[in-house]
Amino acid sequence: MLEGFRLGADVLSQWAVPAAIFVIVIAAWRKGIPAYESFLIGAKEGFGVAISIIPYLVAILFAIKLFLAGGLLNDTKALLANIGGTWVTEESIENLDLLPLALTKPLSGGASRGLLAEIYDDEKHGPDSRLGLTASLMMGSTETTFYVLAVYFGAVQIRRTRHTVPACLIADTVGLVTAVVVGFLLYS
Amino acid sequence: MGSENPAAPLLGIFLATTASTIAAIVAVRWLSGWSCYAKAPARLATDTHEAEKEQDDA
Repeated sequence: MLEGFRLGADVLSQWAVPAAIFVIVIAAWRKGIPAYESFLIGAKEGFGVAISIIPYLVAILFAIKLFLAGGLLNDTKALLANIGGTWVTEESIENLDLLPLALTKPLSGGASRGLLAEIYDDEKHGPDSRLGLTASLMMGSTETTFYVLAVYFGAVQIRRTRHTVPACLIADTVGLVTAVVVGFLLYS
Repeated sequence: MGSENPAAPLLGIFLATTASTIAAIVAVRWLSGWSCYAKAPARLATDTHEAEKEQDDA
């Protein structure tokens, strides 16, 4: 059954992007919007975004590199392997490589994209490995919570956010855990 | 760095996003009942009027 599900997921995934482009073009045509020109404007704005995120990337990647170079992540992995013994597989310990990405995503979209690119570039993993695909799931199913709250609540001058932050963090955690579980089920 | 099938994570993203959305709805309902996240008392128009009057008197 899982094989059938994986096959269905593969077929659906392959057709999803062309279908989305087709729907966008048809919707633009029906509303009389020049799709190609609009696309070019968006592409031009992309360059501006790429340049504007560089300072955030430098700051957060520096902090993460410090965290990794200090050996804390490797020590945690070794500790878990020793505690778990045969119960903890190498694959599940490998998921700890996604921890910096999980911690960075709620803070900064740009910095987490940098970490994602590092996972894709890694010779050990790559974009089509289980870890690379799980990282993609994590990026796609979580939000840059603190950045979004600061911008949106700041724009309408709301200071008392009540239960928004804990609710967002609960949702992000569920998204991250589901991404890891789905990564195991679909891409192992 | 390029992927052979860039659309491969789509279904997984859909599943994980659905789970986190449901979690968000449940969390909001649950947390909104907590006293520490209670609504601030509504300010009435008369409160402002009375405050202005006090200021004028002073």
